[in-house]
Amino acid sequence: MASITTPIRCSGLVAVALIIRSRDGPRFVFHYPPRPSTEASQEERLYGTELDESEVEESLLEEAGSDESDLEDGGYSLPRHNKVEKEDKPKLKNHVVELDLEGDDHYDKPNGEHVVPWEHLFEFDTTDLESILTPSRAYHKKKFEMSLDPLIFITYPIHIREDGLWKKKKPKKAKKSKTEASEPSAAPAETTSIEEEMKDVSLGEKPGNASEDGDDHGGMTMFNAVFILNPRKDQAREKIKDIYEHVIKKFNKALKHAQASANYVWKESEMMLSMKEKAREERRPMSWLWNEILIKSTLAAAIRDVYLAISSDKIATVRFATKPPLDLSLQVPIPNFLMSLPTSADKAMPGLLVTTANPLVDEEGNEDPTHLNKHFALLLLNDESKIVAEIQADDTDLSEPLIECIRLCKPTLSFLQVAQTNAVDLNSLLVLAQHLIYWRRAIAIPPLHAREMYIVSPNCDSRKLPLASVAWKKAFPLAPSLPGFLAALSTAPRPFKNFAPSKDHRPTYLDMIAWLIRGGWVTQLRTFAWILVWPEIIYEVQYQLKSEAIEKSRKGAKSQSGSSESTESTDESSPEKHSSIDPSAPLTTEQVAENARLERLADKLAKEAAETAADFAKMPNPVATEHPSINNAEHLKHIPPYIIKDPHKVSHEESLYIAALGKRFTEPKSKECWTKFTKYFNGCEALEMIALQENRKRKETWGILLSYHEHLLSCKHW
Amino acid sequence: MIQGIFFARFLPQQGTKVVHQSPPGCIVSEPGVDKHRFFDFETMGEYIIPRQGFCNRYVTICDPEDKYRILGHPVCIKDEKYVRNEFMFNFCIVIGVEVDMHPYEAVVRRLASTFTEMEIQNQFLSQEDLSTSKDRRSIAALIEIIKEDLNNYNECMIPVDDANTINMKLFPIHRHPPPVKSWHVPISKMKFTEIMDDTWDLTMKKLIAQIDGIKDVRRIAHDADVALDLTKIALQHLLYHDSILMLDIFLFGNIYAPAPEMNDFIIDKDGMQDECSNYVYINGPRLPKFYLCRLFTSLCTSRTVKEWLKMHLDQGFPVLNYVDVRRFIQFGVIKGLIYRVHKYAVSSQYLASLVTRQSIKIEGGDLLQSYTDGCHCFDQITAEKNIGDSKIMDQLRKIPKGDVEIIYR
Repeated sequence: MASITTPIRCSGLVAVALIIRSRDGPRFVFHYPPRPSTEASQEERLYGTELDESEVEESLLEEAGSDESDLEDGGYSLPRHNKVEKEDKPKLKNHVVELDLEGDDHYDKPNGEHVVPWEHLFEFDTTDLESILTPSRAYHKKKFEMSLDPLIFITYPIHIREDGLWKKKKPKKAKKSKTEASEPSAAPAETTSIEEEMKDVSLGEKPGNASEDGDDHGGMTMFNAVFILNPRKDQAREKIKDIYEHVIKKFNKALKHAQASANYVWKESEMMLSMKEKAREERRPMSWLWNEILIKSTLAAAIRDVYLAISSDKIATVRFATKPPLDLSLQVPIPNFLMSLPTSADKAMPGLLVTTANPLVDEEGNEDPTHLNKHFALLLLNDESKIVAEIQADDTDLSEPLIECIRLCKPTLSFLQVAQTNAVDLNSLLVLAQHLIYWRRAIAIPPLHAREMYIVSPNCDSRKLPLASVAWKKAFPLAPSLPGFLAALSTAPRPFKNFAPSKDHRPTYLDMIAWLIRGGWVTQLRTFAWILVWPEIIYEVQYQLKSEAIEKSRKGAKSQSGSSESTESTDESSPEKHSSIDPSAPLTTEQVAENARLERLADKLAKEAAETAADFAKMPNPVATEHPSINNAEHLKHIPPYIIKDPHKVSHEESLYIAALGKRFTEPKSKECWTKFTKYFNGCEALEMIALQENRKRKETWGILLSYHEHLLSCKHW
Repeated sequence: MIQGIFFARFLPQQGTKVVHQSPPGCIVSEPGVDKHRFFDFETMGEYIIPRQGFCNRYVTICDPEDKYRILGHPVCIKDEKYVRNEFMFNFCIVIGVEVDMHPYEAVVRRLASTFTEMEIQNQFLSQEDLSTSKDRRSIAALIEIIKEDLNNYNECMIPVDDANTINMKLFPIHRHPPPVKSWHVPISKMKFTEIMDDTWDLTMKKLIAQIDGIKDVRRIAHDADVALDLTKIALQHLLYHDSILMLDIFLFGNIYAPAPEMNDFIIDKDGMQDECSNYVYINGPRLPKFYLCRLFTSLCTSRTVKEWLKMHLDQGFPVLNYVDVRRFIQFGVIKGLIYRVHKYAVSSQYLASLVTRQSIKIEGGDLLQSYTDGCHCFDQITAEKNIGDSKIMDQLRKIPKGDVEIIYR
């Protein structure tokens, strides 16, 4: 699977160093790599979905870049950072060359000073670095972030407790695991497994502390593993946040644990420092010493492994040789799919799958990073046998259930289906699957099906075509060539079954599509729809509303006139009284005017009512034709078709449209499902998922959807 | 926004000391000022005036509570006239950790360089207390003005003495723009004629006159009589300032497909439908916006614009009578509602040669062979070889049958 291994991002990590403060003051214990690169991190040069990366463009870019800096500060300021860098570069390079040639060995300066190759890191002396990188207690278990242009030093310093212990003694260990578990983590399963081990370790701890056992702490009062980054400025903030939360904090916490339980950090540091001291006296070359240290010290090896994995954006698995050994997995989580394509101004992420099928949504369609949707399927990112072997090698409590989960899950079956057919607990299946996804062994996709459509992903990384073609040929020797197959898929989207020569070929062809999705070559073309209300329906509803209104006003008028009569007869108001006292008395002028006004009003109302009634009578009766979309009747011409944006939030009128539409369907099934299905017609939910969500047969669901076709505005995208 | 600014010195007897600060009491307590301090200066001192090895460079540090970031540029001047033969100082700016620190970097560097210069000239900093001259400003006043002016006006111009002025301005730092390709089509986002004046670069003016949203970069370079690489650099400057956008070459044989953002258009987010009708309808009767929705959603990965127009015509909707199709497609692309589906040629022979790293000569592939790795879209071939789609296909047909595949992506 060459097609998915290269990292899509650059971490900016250039070195990791371990520094402690002991009885002898701050000590620079170890760093890796021995000679870190001083070049700023190289980043993918592509933008958007472009693939062309011609050399010409690069040299241009640099030129433009140096031009730009003049432009940015109006050319007035001190040499700005990138200029400085440029000016410095030759110097730095010389420095590196010098070190590369003779940097491995010791030499004496003319003044007799003994220059030790490992006592310089970047442009700094380790004696300077060790003093500035042992922050005071104020930074205990807090983020320490310092930049010495252009490098950024980030760490999570650990100080000894004031009572001289590394860890608070806890009467109840249950409480401890609880607090630790509450730290934010996206991998619930893994965290617990680490915590599990940590708990085990603390179990093995004797009452009291190591120092009381006569173990020598060397007066170590603090230590920290410092991560040194040289990221691009515009990405620095984000990179720092990611690596701090996911790697630096966890690594230092694990060190603290190992120190508390087995005096691990001090023992290892003491060993490394004495090896360095000896090598210094014997004037050993740095390469020899580093080899020795890496063989002897598991902590040094762990630092190396973390550096190598994290700097290339992979997962680091390290083991501290405490008793029992402490295993730790670290990574900066990477997205495993994209919802929308990077724009032409965004950095490209070629090869990353694009799809709107987000598996981390709950039943209501709300995003929830902890909730894996049960209607998705598990797609392994590597060969099953390879992954199983890796998990077996890990040999943790989780290994067995994980392997079982891998064995049961198929990319063609949703988690729910897997759980039902194998009678296993759905929730534990989801937890295991999520673990596999978090640790980059799998992704969740809508279940593969021969009737779905798949297209070449607009984000696929064609630069990998040469190697991928070879891998493809190996995996599917009898299938068409990779370019040929991609060309066929991309020409015209059709249900995938049409590509398989016969029904017997379908399983292989589904394997092929799984391979292609895994590599980000293809993505599913999904259908989205909104309810479309044709003029005929709108007219029908309006007509209905009007007739109801007329009916109401008529009734209202009647009841009102009735009531007014009755009030007149019963009302004992003064004018009435007056008239009743003296019926023959002539009306006052005001009374006359008032009566006339009332009369006029009544007349007007009646007239209006009559007019609306007449207008209404003139309106042609709504006729339900078989195909409202092509009803060209004169009275519908001025009504534009209407789209219901979100069936979850409909106005009164829209709900009437939906009801009116529901009456149009003749098939009993279509009629029955209309109210159930309308919620999916919001432009965000793929029609392909309805069958799973409603637990119906695929074919039947599509039959029903087809009967709605005329009243839906649909759109196909990934 | 600058929360605080201070001037710190290393004093041989007392160690690192804050000499001046603004606002008063923000870094170290001052008599008569009862104010909350940003952080404990004792903790931070070693990063303000660090060891010599770390001086004369840009240094930043966050406080333990991760609330404030101190930006500084510690300076160490070596001279025998000083006690211990050296003079160390730092002008620091304090900002919130969540604030973008990049615009302030130039300010801090500028403060360091100006005051270094002035110290070397007339011991402006080290002799501060002794100098009684009236024609210089006090440092306390200076840092106060710098902070206020930068916060209120984003710039400051402060005469310090007869010889020195501090001129500074905060510039937003934009992202580096993507490279410009010869087959891109720039379209302006602003009215250049209104902002251009005589001081503008001549080449830039020549090029801007050619930007019409139709011509590709290569054509613009040609029509403006400017070298292609200069054209690209100039356009990259415009991109940096976000004053142009880059599109693809519009042709009726192109394919465009909807993206998930289409939903924004259908639900009329930000009044997009009105904006679209104003942009795309040609003079004459305006159609209901529903038709725009239908036009957009009926685009798909296998339909050229031409075929799409024909389909609508067959359904009784003569699109061209109402809609400027080029502007319609442009609108969709700019808003991200649709994306261009590009055509790529892939030759299996050529791919195989890339794996083995042996150069081959594909029969009939002399002109286009190097484009057949699936990474060069037809637009690029068109721009670089000056041949159209059909000619490209003719050329590719010269390669033995079955070797070349066309992938739409």
